Amino acid sequence: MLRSAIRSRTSREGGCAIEPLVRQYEIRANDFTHAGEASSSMKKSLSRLGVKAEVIKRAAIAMYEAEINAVIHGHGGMAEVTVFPEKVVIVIEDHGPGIPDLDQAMVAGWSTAPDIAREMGFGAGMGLPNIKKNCDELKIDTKVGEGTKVTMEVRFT
Amino acid sequence: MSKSVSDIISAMNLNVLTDVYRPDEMIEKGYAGDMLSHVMAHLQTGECWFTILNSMNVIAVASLNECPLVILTEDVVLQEPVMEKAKMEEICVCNTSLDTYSACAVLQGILDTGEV
Ligand SMILES: Nc1ncnc2c1ncn2[C@@H]1O[C@H](COP(=O)(O)OP(=O)(O)OP(=O)(O)O)[C@@H](O)[C@H]1O
Ligand SMILES: [Mg+2]
Repeated sequence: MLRSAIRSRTSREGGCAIEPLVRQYEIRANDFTHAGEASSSMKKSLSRLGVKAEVIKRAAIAMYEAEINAVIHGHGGMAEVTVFPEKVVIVIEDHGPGIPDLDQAMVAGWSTAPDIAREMGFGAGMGLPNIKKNCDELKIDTKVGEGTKVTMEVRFT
Repeated sequence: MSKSVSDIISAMNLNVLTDVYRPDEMIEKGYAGDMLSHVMAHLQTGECWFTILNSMNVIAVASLNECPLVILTEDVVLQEPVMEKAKMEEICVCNTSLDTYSACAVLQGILDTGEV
């Protein structure tokens, strides 16, 4: 199941209150049925806010790939989406096995996806390259035995 | 030449598994692929998608890419939960007994001649 919570953070700049919209989602391990719901929900929020379709598509693709990686490789985790006036920041964090060689993992075609995932059409080794292509900023913090945190930023203009 | 979703469904004699949600949306070409992240990267606006995959993720990928028509080849069908998801997301899914190569060839013929 997908659970989402909305929190508001308030910061004040020059007396004007800016409240970035923050949403959190739970990503469950090996739950291919609900995988993608967090990205789909983010996509709907951005389109309600009037963000350009091309930008929304890039953010949704990047988030979906990271979400699926957390499902398949990362034993599940959390997604947090923060919408600022000029950009969206998406963090996908898991406490899975981590990525031993990140440079290798970023190579198009490299994959350790298990058969069960391959049968469903995953495992082309294109997820991370897709994420990189679609984000304006990408940061991957990963440690073997501890987990992986993917921070993606997509600017609206 | 481009053709509408409903014209393609009738010209290719596709079997509609869900409903036709955007009958008038125009299709310029097809994209064939069974690796989801390749499809994520390459499926463009104005393309229908040919695949033999039928998992829930097919609907997620079609929906994220706003694909107006998904064509399952080789008589692939949808399980009930996937069907429900497709209807919820308003993704038109059809199937055909043709394999992907033949189905693409038929579509190309239709697009080339402009005949329905
Ligand atoms: N969150 C993660 N935790 C652990 N390993 C990961 C994680 N994300 C990616 N990896 C590793 O990096 C590899 C490449 O990831 P990438 O998303 O590019 O391809 P894939 O998931 O294997 O296939 P595809 O995304 O094309 O379906 C994975 O096969 C896996 O070994
Ligand atoms: Mg992947």
